[in-house]
Parts: sequence; structure tokens; C-alpha cells
Amino acid sequence: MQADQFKKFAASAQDEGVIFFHSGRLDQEEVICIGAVLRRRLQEEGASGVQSRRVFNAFMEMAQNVVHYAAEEPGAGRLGVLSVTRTEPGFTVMCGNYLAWEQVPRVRSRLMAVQALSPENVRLAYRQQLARQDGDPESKGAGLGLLTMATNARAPIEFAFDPEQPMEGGRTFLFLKALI
Amino acid sequence: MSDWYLPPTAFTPEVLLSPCQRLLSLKGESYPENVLSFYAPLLERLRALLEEGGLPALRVEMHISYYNSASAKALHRFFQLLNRAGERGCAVKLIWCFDEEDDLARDLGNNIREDFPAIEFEDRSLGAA
Repeated sequence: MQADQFKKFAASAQDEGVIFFHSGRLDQEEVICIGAVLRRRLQEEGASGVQSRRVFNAFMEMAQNVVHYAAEEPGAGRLGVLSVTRTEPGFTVMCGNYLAWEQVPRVRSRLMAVQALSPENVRLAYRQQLARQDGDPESKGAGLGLLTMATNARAPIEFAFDPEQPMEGGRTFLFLKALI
Repeated sequence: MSDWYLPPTAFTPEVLLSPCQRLLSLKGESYPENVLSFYAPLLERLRALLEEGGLPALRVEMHISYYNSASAKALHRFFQLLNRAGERGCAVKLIWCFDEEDDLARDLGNNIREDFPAIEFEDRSLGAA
């Protein structure tokens, strides 16, 4: 990247209110380091204690989703794009990762189900899911991850699959967005 | 059974299970990569202590300042185990500590109080760090 391109990139990030951005390999160790940096950035941004906690909670669930569920890139591990932007009156947490195409129906139906819940019902569903012994066998967090994001967000979680058909290698890109 | 102690890490809580003090304490953050492999040995030890050891009383102190969703599931298993012990006559007291601004942890505490009646429950709101 040339200096002028870098300047444009930095200016665009500033315009969008980006306070944190990561693109690339993600594993548990990186999640821990990133989490520590994010907490510091939120403090510097003057986020309230409640806001900071909610941003962190949603962010960590998204990051851990990548670590556990993203389709693996041969030789590169699991890749994820994560950002936190300042969007008055709060923050926006976004995440993107490759997902195996055969997972799309399952993930979509779960996202739609959670999207349809009122805030009270999100909390109720969280409580019920916590008490359930079984849960989705493919889900390491028993479906709680998504409900945790929803509990921390001030609006329903937005999502998109792009493209809406399998790319080469039988996968697509999943975006998640939480307004805090 | 001797004491079981794990020092805290950035992503796992400090753990103390002390049969002679009749104390279980969990303090810190909880988001291990593999939640089950972290909590399973502790759950098993606690189960043995309560069910085979016949411990008459246990004080449980929990202050988990951050827990991911998988850890919340693991904590639930602790409460189930503790509630069962309470039903069998063990005097289980849970001190549930949370940061003042952490309304989700406060809610979780209220749920524990309602869902696990055999546990004597006390919650403590701690001032902002």
C-alpha cells in the first residue's frame, strides 16, 4: 500500500468511526489479546461501564463464533473480519467469516428465530436455553452465543449471507451486526 | 480430599475447592477455548465431595466478572449439582457477586434464586471497578 492509499484508508476508517478492526486469522490466543485491546479502546472512547460491557460481550461471542464455526482455510486456519465502530448513541459490532454452504439453512433459521424475539423474549429464551440439557449437537455453546449477542444489543441482530449461493469451495460469507 | 486450587489466567477464573473449609470459590473471567475440559474435572470433584463425601455444608462464592455463553452453561451445571445437594440436606449457601453495572449478571442471580430453591442465595453488588 502506498502512503496516499494508506492515508485514504485511514481517513475512511476515521469517517466510519472505527475504533477497532481486525481481518485475518483468529484463534483463542488472539481473541484474548484482542479482547484486552478492545477494553482499553472502549475506555479511551469514554464508553460507559454498561456500554463497554455490552460491546465486549457481543464482540467476544462473535469472535468465538469465528474460532469455533468459521469454515477453515487450508493452511490459514479460521479467518474473520471484526470491527467496532462508534455510531451515536452507541457502538456497532460487526463480524464476517466464511461459512460452509451446507450450514446456511441451519444458521439462517436460527438467526431469523432470534431476530423475531422481543427484548423480553430474548432474555426468556436465554434462560430456557441455559436450562436445557440437550441443545443443538453441532453447537458448542448450545445456541446461547446468538442469544447472548441479542441480549447485549439494543436492536435485533442483523445478518446477511453474501453471496446467496455457494462460492468456489462450497461456502459463503456470513455477516453479523449488533447495535449496542 | 485435599484442596484443589487453580490460579487465575486471563481467560479462566481462580478456583479454590476446599473440603476442610467447606468452601468453593470461583473468581475472575471465564472464556476458555474448551469450557468443558476446564470445568469437567472441577464438577466431578465437587460431585464426589457432595454425593460420596456427604459434605454437610458448603459455602460457594462466585464473582465471574465476564463469562462467555459456553461458561454460562457450565455454571448452570454447578447450580444443578448444588441444588441437588441442597435437596439431600447439605446446607449450600451461594454468594453471587457481580459488578454494579452488570445487569445481566444481576438477572442471572435472580434466575438462580428462583430456579434452585434448595440453595440459600445471597447476592452482592460490588462497586464499579
